[in-house]
Amino acid sequence: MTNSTSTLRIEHLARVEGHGGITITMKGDQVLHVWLDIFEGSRLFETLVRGRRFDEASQIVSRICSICSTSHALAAILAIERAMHVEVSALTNALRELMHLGENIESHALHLFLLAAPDYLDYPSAIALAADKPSLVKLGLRLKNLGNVLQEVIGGRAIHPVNAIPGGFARLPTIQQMLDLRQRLEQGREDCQAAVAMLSSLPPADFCHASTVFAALRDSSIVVKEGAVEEQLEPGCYRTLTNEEKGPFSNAKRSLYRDRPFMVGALARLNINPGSLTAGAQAAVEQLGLSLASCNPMDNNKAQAVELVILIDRALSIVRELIEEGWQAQAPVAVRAHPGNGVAVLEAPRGLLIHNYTFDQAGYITEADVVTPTAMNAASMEHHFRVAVERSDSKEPAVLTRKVEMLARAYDPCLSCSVHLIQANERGRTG
Amino acid sequence: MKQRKPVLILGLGNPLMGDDGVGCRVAEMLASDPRLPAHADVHDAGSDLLRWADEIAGSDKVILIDGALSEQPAGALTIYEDELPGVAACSSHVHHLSPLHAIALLRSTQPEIARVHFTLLTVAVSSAEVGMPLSPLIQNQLPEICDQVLLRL
Repeated sequence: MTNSTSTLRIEHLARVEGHGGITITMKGDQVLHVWLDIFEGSRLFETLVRGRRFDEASQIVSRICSICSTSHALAAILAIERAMHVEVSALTNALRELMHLGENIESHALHLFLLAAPDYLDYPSAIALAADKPSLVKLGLRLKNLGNVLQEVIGGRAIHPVNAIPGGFARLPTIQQMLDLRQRLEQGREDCQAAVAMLSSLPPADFCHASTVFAALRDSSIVVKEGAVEEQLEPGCYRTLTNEEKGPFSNAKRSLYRDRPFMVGALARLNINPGSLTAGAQAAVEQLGLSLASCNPMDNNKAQAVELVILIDRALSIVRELIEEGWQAQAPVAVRAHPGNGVAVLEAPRGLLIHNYTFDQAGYITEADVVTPTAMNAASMEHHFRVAVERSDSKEPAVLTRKVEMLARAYDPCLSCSVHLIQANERGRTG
Repeated sequence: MKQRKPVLILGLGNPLMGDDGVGCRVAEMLASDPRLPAHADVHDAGSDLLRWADEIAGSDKVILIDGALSEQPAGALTIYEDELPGVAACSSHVHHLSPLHAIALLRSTQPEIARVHFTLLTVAVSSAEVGMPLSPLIQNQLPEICDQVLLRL
């Protein structure tokens, strides 16, 4: 064993050079420092909504993330309605939930099949996986498409919903669209069974099991849990959780709860709400060999698969109920500008998402705070990177890189959603 | 089911990220351009091309407009016909697929997309900072980019 200092640097976790990556420094086998350098675009987006009217906010913030555009739009709308004391109809709540379920279905399917599965099956990318196992990738694309269609029918666009506005919906779906959705969701249920079967056949991954603090919503409160110990926070007190200290070895801010990193996302949701499992989800838990509460962050992938079952079942239940009961055309509730503050916390695909806005008399935003799941997960990821490296029998860079990359992907981080510039220095014609 | 038009124009990017949103701005301009023929649909497509798989599958020709980090001077237009730039064997993205990866994936899994003709127009940008307006240089390029798209319909 050598006592010289070495550095493991993974520079390809983000889409834009210079904005992302993981760096781990070691002295011999001892890990000295771990840092995840994230491009924290969402923090800067707050400046874009300051000075904007309340009814512009959801459209702007939905652009923060292409995958979580519905969550950002909904979080903004809910915060606005709280600040303006708006009560919406049961139909609005049902349609919002449906749209949100669509986003979660889409995001989980994309992550599990196109980003995580290649890791487990030892393929460099989804494209390489598709060449060998096209049916597997097609299954993932079908499930992703189901989520897209839900968002498009309710939200009015394939991406960045426009129908959902403060007070309700600008346009309601037609009965024919709901009948089509029901049919697609019934097919989706079958696809979901196949997805769980596929994921249960993947090789196990348990190389970074460690005591972990989890945070997720239970009803409308944030619950923070470690082992059997739980604490409950009201949404208005979210800063206790998202205190955003700058870490000593990183440029990015870190959220700590009582000086401890915490994990948000699918695994946190299941660990904190095990009683919410439906019969189908319980069967998936057993098929996947997922033992709740799990402190293995790699189980976040399995938790997403279980959630796919829950999400599709719930969406189907809402659609069936709407078809059965029907709905009347209704205009959105009028929203009058009102000075005040509104906080909304919801579960985005990757975990807790918090939007907080303060408005002046005329309804213009004077303060904004958007806290994303990946910002909350950053310190927890570093904690688990450290565990993975320390526990690894081999300290070969290739072995460590593979483990750390797999772990990073299991967290399903949103490091690169804000910018998607491509590199174009290959052949082509300059026009 | 909605009738698809044979030509689909998708402007890619994030308009909150300055020049990264150039594709979206071009799509907005084209949507109100009287020269846009009836057989073409144009959308501000955001940054997740996989979401447009159904629309792509129903088209004969797809034109993508995207910002690109490039060694070329900012504003330079590069046009790829038939063959798109190659994608690295290993995806470096943890969150979603780049447009080129998305096309490669869709082509390999959906035969109806394998036959679609793609044209990619990239606009060289030097940076993409958080902010809604385009840089003056890229803003001034918009009419030229629109002309180039229309020439290819």
